[in-house]
Amino acid sequence: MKATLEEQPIAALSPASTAQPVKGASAASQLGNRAVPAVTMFVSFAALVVGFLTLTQNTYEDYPIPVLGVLCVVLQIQFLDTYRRRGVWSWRVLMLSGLTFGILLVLQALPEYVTGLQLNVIVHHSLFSSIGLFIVALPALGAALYEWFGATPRAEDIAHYPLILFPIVLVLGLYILLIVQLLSRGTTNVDWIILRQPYFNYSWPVKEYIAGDWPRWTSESRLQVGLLNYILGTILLMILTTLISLPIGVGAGIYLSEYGGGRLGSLIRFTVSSLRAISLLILGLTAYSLARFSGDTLLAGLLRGTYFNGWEERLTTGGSFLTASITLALLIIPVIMRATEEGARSLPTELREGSLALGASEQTTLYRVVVPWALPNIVTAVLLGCAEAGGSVAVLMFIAGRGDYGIGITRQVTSLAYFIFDTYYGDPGFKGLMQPFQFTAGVLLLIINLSLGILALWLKHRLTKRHRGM
Amino acid sequence: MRVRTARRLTTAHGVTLGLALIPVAMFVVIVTVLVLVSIPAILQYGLQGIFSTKISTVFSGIYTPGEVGLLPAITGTFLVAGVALVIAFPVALAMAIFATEFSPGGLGRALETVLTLFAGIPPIIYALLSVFVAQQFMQPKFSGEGLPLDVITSLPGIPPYNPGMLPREQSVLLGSIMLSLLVIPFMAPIMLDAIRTVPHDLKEGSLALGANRWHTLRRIVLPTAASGIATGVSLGLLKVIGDVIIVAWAIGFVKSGLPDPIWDIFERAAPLTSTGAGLLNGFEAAGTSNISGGSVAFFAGLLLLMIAFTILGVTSWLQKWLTRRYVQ
Repeated sequence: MKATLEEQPIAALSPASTAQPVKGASAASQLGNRAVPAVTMFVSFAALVVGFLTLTQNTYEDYPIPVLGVLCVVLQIQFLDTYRRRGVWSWRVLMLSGLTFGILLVLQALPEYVTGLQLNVIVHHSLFSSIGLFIVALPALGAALYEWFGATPRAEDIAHYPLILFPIVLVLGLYILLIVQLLSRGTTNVDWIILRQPYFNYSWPVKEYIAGDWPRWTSESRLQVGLLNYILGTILLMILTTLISLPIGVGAGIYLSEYGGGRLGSLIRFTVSSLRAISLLILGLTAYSLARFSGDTLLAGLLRGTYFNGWEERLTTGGSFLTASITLALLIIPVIMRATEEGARSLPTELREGSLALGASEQTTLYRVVVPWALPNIVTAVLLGCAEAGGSVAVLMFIAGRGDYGIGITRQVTSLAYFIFDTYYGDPGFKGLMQPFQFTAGVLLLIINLSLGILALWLKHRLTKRHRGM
Repeated sequence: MRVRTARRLTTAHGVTLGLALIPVAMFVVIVTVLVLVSIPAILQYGLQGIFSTKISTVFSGIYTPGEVGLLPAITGTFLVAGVALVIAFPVALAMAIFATEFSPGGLGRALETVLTLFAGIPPIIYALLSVFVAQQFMQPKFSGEGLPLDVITSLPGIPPYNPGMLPREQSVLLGSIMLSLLVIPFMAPIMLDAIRTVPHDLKEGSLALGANRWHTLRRIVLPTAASGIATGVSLGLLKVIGDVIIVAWAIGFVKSGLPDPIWDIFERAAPLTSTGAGLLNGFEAAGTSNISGGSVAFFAGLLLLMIAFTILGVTSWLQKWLTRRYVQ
C-alpha cells in the first residue's frame, strides 16, 4: 500500500506539475531526456571521488579546479535542459552552478599553505579543495538523481540518498582503514612464540657455592618477552568482573522491574544510571583510593595485591585484580541492570498471570517465568560488559602492573589494554623491548572483543528463539 | 496490569533490594571520597590557585611545585566535547535515518550489526590508531609537512611559537576525531531506537496525505523523535567528556596556559580527565605522592562529576521541552 502511494507522482504536490508525461515518449526521446542528468551524475560522482582523493593525499592538487569547472558548465546545461523538458526554471541548479564557480575562484586564489587568525596551524590547500568539492558535488548529485528519476516526489526521496550516505561511507571507510591498519601492523614481523610465554623481567638472589671458598650471594636475572600474562590477566579480569557484577546487576534489575515502582526504585534507577554517566577518571580514582586507603590493614593483602619476591609475600604499590574488578563492576552493573529491567518489563502480562493462575507463587513465577524471559537481554549485556571491562584502561591506569609475578586474584592487576598503555608511557627499557608488540596486543584485544560481540549477538538470537519462542 | 498474590515482603524482594542497594552505597562512597580528598587541595592551594591557568607536572618539562591551575583543562574539556559532537552527531543521525527510513534491502540491519560490533572496540585501540591518523591525515594537512623552517616563519598569521611545535602529533582536533569514532556506535543505536519508536500512525498519515518520505522525515519523524535523539546526544557527550585514554594519547596529559585564541582546536588543550590522570601519575612519579598533592586530581574528578550532572539535568529539561513542543 505504502509503496504504491510513493511511486505514483502526485500532481498537486509535485513541483513538476507541468511536466510532459514521460510514459508516451519513445525510447529514443527517453534517452534524450535522461542524457543530461546522466552526465551531471557522472561528473558530480567524479567530483566526489576527487574529493575523497584530495582528502587522503596532498598530491592530487591538479584535479579539483578542472573538475569544478566542468561541473559548473554541466550544471548550467542541466538548468537549460530542465526548462527544455519540463518548462521549469530550476533556479536552485543555477545557484549551485554559481556556487561552484565561486568556490573555484576561491580555490584558485588560495595559496598552497593557508595560515591566519593566530591559529596554531598551517592548513594545506587540498583540505579546502576536498571540502569545496563535497559541498558542491553532493547537491549536484542529488539534483541529477532528481531529474533522472523523473522529478516526482519519490525522486525527491532518492535525491537525498547521497546526503545521507556520504557521512556514513566516509566514517565506515575510516573505520575499515583503521582496522586494516591495525591488523597489518599487528600481524607482520611477529614471532608467535610471544603469545605462549609470559613477560618476565626480574632478578632473584642465588647462593653460590664455590669449592674452597665461603658461600656467597649473587643475583640471577631473567628477561623474557611475551604476552601470555597480559592475555591471562585480561581473561581473569573479565571473569572476576562478571562474577561480581552479574548477581548485583540482575538483582537490581529484577528489583526495579518487580518491586521498584516507588520513590526508592527511582532513587536506585537514578543513582545506578549516574554510575554510567560519571567519568572513567572517577572510577580510576576510586580504584586508586580503594588500593591506597586500605593501608596496611587486613584488607591490604586483598586490595593492594601481593607478590612473592623469593622469600616472602610483599604488598605491591598498585592494586589487585579484585580491586580492579570491583571498580569495573561499577561500570558494568548499570548495563546489566538496564538490560534485565527491560527484559523483565517486556514479559507479556498473560504469561505472568497464567503462571500465577496455575498456582505458582510469586517467587516461583520470578524464577521460572520472568528470569528466563529476560535471559537473552542479560546474556548480551554480560558479554558486552565483559568486552568493555577487558578493554578499559582508565580504571586500571593508577593501579596496574606488568603481571610478571604471576596472575591471581590477589596479584597486581594487568591486562592487554594496560600493556598497550604501558608500551607508550612506561619506562624507556620496557618501551624499547615491548613497543614492537603493541599492535599485536591491539589485534588480540580486538579479536577478544569482537568475538564476544559476535557471541552476544548469536546467543541473543538463539536464546530469544528458545525462551520466547520467537 | 500487575497481579500480586500477597503484600508481604518475600525473600526475593529482600534479596534483590539488598543487591540493588550495593551500587547505590558504592556511589555514595565514591562521591564522599571525592569530596573528602579534594578538601586538602582547596585548603592547600585555595580556589584561586586551582582555577588559575598555570599547571605543571613532571610530564610538562619544567616542573614547578604548586602550579595546579585547572582552568586550561576545563577549557580543553569543552573544546574537545564540542568538536567531537560536531563530528559525531551528523554521522550518527545519518546512520539512524539510513537504517530506519532509507535502507534498501537489508543494508540497514547490516549497519546495525556492524555498529553493535564497533561499539565493542575499546578506547585504547582508537588511542593506538590515533598515531596513524596523525601521520596520514593531520601532519600532511595541518602542519606544513615538508616545509623548511624559514618558509614556516615567513607565513603570515601564525603564532610566533609555532615553528618549534611542528610537526605536531597531538591536537584537540585529532582527539576529537578519534573520540567521535568512539561515540558514533553508542549514539547511533539510541537515535535509531528513537526514530523507530515513532508511531506508525503518524508516519502513515503523513504519507497518505501525499507527502514523500523526506518530508515525512523532516516534518513528522524527526520532531517526534527529537527527545530520544537528545538522549543519544547527551549520552555521547557524557562518554566524550568521561574518556581518559584517547585524550591522553591524542591530546596529551597536561597543558599549561589557555589556548590563544580560546577556540584554537589545533592546540594541545588537554581536558580535565587526562589532566587529572597526569596530576596523579605525575605526583606519583615525582615521589611526592602525599595525598594533598594528588588531591587536585580528585578535585578534577569532582568537577567532572558536576559537569556530568549538569548535562543530565539540562538533558532532562530539554527532553521535557521537546516533548511539549513537538509531541503534544
